[in-house]
Amino acid sequence: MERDAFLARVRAATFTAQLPPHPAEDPGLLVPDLPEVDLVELFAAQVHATEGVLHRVSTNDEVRRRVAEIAESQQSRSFMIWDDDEMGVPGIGPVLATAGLEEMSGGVDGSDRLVHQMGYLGLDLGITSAEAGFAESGTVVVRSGPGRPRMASLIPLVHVVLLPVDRLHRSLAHWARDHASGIEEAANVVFITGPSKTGDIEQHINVGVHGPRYVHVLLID
Amino acid sequence: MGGGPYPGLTSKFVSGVCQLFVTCLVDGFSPGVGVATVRLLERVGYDVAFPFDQTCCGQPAFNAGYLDQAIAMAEHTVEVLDATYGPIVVPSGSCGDMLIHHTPKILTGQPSEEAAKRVAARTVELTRFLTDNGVTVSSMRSEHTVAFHRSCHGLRGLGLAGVGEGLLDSAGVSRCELEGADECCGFGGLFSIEMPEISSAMLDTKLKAIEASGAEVVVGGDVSCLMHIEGGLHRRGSTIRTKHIAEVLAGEEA
Amino acid sequence: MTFRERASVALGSPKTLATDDGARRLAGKRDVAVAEYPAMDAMRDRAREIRMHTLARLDEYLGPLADRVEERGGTVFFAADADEANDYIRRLAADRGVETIVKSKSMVTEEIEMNYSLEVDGLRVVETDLGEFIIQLAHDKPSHIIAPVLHKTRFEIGELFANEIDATYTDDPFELNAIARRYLREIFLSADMGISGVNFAAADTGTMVTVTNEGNARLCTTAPRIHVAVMGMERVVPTLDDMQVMLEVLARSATGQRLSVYTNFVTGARRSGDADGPEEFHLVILDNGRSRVLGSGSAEILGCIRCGACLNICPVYRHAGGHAYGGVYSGPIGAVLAPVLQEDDGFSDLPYASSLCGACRDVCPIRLDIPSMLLGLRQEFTRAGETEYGWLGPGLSAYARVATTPFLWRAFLAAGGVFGRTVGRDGYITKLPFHAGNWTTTRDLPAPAARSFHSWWKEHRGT
Repeated sequence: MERDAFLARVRAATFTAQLPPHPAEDPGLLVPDLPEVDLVELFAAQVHATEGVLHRVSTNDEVRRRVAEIAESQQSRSFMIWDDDEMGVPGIGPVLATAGLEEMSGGVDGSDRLVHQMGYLGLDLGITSAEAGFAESGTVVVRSGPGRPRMASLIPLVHVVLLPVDRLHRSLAHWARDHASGIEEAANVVFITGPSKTGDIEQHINVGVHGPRYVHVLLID
Repeated sequence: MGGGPYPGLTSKFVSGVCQLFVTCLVDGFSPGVGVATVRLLERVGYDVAFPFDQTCCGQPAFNAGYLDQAIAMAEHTVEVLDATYGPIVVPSGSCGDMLIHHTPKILTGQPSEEAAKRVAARTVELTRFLTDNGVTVSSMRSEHTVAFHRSCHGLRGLGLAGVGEGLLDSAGVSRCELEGADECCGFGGLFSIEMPEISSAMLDTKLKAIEASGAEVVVGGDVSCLMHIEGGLHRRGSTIRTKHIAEVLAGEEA
Repeated sequence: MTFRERASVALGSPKTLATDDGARRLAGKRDVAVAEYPAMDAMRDRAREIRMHTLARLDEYLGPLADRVEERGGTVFFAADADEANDYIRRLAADRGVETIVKSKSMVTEEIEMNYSLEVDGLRVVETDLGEFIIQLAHDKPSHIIAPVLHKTRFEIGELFANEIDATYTDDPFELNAIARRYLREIFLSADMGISGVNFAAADTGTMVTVTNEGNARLCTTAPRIHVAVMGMERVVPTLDDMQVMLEVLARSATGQRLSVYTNFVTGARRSGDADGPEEFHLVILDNGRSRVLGSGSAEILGCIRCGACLNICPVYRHAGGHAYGGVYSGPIGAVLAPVLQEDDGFSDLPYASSLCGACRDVCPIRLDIPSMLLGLRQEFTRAGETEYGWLGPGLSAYARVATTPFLWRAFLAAGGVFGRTVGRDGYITKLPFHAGNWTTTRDLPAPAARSFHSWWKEHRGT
């Protein structure tokens, strides 16, 4: 149907629509009053509640070491990581490479898309940074873009995500008040709340359906 | 503990006239509930009046989608009640919800629109009326364990969660919890004969919860749901009985 | 078949018991999440305001939504009905040499039976949500908006996987999940087109959000070179900020999560320099009866955000199961939506599939007054003579006549007393004729009292 005809039909319907009372102006965001809490404590509790793992780290060295430890404990043999500039902490990739892990590039383009993506079948570990965290839900905000492949947080069995503690917010609504307008600046932004789950079979929660089975959040002081 | 001729009953409000809208089911099936309501209100200190030309509020037709018939009955009810004064007390959450919320809506644009609003403003469900007036019935002897059935329209339409239970508890009635207390018993007016299989299945779930609760008596604020539950219990040969809360509070043995 | 017939068959069956069990579990989780969130009531009020505001000027938001998507290089197609939507995607698939399509869960594509239409053209369409994947293998229909296989047990699913995809039989949900993951992996990475639903679309930025727990929608919208998003036209919200309000209430109401695992925002295809993502983005905006709903007395129902909370709490849904509703949309929401949205498909008995207990209205994050809409539809169908329950008419008219004539009412009560004494045994009536017999098949009826309250009053209080 032509756009104009479609919209005209919708418009005609709004004339006879019987709707309950509502504001004439879009009321917009509501930032709720929530009890004062220790953000780190709440975030840690919620990451745990959603079956993620929280690590408190403070130096770049410690971050690199902790990622290597996770890789070892998960027996990862390959990894994908965002560009150093996008990670905030440099040099993680070389540490993993030294430990014997194979790096997979996250970039795809038209011609070799299929071949390249099939290589991801063997990808074990993905490492990204997060631009925000929501304490209320134990969520991290991951933005894709140049040097930031989506696949790194999507395909591997293990996702390690770096979050500086000063990026913690009380809740989604609080973050939205200050930052949400930036969502459209990237083709893809995702809020990740724990590992991939399903409850489809008899409502028993299982982790690791299509996305990562393990999510490690490195909260950097 | 209040003084006066009725030990055990106290109220901060001890005089005035109230109108009883008894509801069609009480009128025809359970007049004892009406009698208990009258006695209860009189003991609290009210002069109870009963507008004699009252019939049915029209809810059965309204819920079945027969608007013309519902409007006719609603108009009659409003006409009868608007000619009186004082609070209109209804021993039913369902009919109360009708008079307070739906009657004014279906009479919008009708000659009785304003009268319907006046009647709605004066109408109050019995347990809410007692609670709002600070009536407590205390020191009742309770021989049996009761479970309270929360009728849907009272619970959700009038926000009566905990009101009936509160009255029973303060009266010292021995009460047990009912699993799925907020779940419909499957009556739903004509729903019970429009969709008898589903209605019966819902009743079955409710009866199982009642049987599992250990209650000997099911107490509720609506004769309609109680009739449904009673009919199911009787068909099963159960010894569990049903009582309207007015009967219990009026001192009839629970 | 009518709802009543389908429900009667379903009652007490294993699949209905599984539904009841699962629905109760979901409802319980929802209750906990709502109790834990002190802002829930305020957020619901705001969500309702936004939804109703939007519906009242839907065209004014759909236009800008399309503009924003196009500005980012996306293609927007306005589909008047199912055929137009399906044809657009078929033509697109043919034009781009598509062979395999991966889909994430979307009620709207169920509604338009998209898979069938694409498969006729020889395309391979693979559902990737675990529940939908099971449904597709079983050639079944979803029975719940967010939990499509609520009616299936793990034993059935184990057998299905063994028979259909040569898996070794297991009924361990963890193993079954692992089998699906392995099976779908390659398909995801090699598919040419991904089709997703849309939970909400923001008109101010052209951003779509899709909410999943499994991650399949992210894969569908990332790996294939073409991403097609299909949305019911009512899914638009004015701004990204409004979208956040919806997200605050959606997961809590649906599964009792504070947020679903993946809340995935897509604003167009990959941008220049992006590491990955699809090359093309298409948005199909579907009417398919929605403008008829919007123009009707049931317009409010378009505020629904498909959380499923009303299904989980509904005693009729729990006892009858989702398939008893006969269509894509079941439960209280389906009982309102289906008869108007799909007016020619014989759903006119669904508005009667409710005892009007109001539990749905209590849990709805948008506070949709579903009971009032069901009543509205009953009135409409009665007026038009399109109800199964026309036989109630003469009786109710006679009853109304009696109830508006006080002396007749009192005579009626007296007659009832005589009837009760004559027919009743020990105060109960055990068998009634005609439609009233629907009561006495399973229940006794307490007999009408020998003396009415009117009669007592007259004797004891005068007048």
